[in-house]
Amino acid sequence: MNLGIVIGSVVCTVKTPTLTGRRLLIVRKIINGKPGGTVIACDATGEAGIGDTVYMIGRAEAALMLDLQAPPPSDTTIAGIVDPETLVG
Amino acid sequence: MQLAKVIGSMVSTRKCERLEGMKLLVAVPIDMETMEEKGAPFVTADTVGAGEGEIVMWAGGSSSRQTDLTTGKPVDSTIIGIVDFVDIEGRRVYAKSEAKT
Amino acid sequence: MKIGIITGTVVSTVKYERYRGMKMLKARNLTLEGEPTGEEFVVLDAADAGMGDIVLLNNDGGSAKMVTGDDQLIASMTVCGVVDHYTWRGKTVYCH
Repeated sequence: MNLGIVIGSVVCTVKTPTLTGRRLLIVRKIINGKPGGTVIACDATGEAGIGDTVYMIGRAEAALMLDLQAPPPSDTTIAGIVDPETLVG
Repeated sequence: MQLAKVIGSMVSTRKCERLEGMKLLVAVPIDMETMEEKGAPFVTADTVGAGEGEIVMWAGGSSSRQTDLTTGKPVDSTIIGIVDFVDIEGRRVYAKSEAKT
Repeated sequence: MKIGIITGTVVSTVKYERYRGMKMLKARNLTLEGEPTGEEFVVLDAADAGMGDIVLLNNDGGSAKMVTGDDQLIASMTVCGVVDHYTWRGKTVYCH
């Protein structure tokens, strides 16, 4: 999983039906402690917001984490929010 | 997922049987902060009825086969949404209603 | 599987429910010469590893289910062992 900071959001009205109700957030990846490129991620926690440091899961697991029975086509999913005061190393 | 702009379509008559009936579009990656084109165009499967000039969201890898239309199909990127708005740090960087086509 | 080094800890209150009670760490891959390489990532710990430990990293969702004993778990990278030593081109490297 990779770390990133939530910086924005995307809204799509027309989308694949299994994505309905999913929040789509723009996340700037943190690569070796430095800011990297941006990616759109589905939020599995339901609580991530702008400014939060999050960790994201990729590949097939990104879809399965959102819904095991009917996986939506997500290739990057926010799995959790890092408690800000605890981030060391 | 990443953003892209649809710049054309692709038709292939002789192709893998499993690709039959699949709508294929040509898209160019978009930098979501500047909304400018970035990188080489690619061919992608469409599941939402996107058209030329539209900004779309696409998923790659095995996740691109997690839609009703692409299950079991040999695709590695799929358009999964047509973008209405992009907001970054409280600033609206894209709105479909105001976009030039 | 690859060899990696633990570079930090990650504490998170809001998380995917099946990660509840599991320790999460930051890690990087190591070359056999012992140099960190590639990007830093977040891993689930199934071997009670700590900061600075040289570990065995498994990057497979199916293996993550096995090492954690949770067959419903969705995870990518797990720490499945703390390395004592490894031998490479006739040279043995002791890790702690």
